[in-house]
Amino acid sequence: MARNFSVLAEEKRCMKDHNRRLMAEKFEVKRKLYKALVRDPELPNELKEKHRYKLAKLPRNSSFTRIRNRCILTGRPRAVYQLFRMSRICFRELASRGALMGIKKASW
Amino acid sequence: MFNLRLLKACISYKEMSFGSLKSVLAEAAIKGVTEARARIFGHILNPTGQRSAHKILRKKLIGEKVSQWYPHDIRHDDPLVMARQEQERLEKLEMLKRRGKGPPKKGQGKKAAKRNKVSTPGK
Repeated sequence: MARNFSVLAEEKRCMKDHNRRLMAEKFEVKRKLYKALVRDPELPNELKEKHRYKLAKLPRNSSFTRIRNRCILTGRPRAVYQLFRMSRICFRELASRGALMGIKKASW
Repeated sequence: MFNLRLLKACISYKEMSFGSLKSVLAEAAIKGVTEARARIFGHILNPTGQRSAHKILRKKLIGEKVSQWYPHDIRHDDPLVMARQEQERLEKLEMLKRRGKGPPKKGQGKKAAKRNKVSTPGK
């Protein structure tokens, strides 16, 4: 029962992270534009201030720093390989079973 | 003796001026080359290191790649699997209800009981 609960919780966190990713994609151009306008040295200070305010008022979940790379199989937030998008444990399991193309355990 | 000294000074001056001219020329050439390079490759020159928006704008957009981290679960497309999951959920609820662990009726939950308790001493 406890294991079942934890799996559900991880799934929920993955859903949350997924929503954040979608938000980040949606607001990416806007965020970049405001950031660039704040950085521009030729703009007057009032305009810069305005853009800074706008940047701060974007939804918080659209920030790229809120995104966490999670394991796509178990939802583990740590020790996730970016290339395989899975945690070290899943990776090891699948690799030793030979399910990953081109991955082989080294031995010499 | 005096003449000799003058001559030496003259020579050293000449050498110096020649050296400075050379360095000026070299500088101009280097500048021209960097400018031409920037023009050809579309770089933006910022030799004084001023704050600019270009540093942010030149980066690629990563949103599309970031949003595709989680793959689509094909089980959600299969009506058979979804029906089975729904069936399991309903069965579980039914079992809980039989054991008397189902949801309470309106006005009989924990919160409602507490509310009634609080309101009665006041009356």
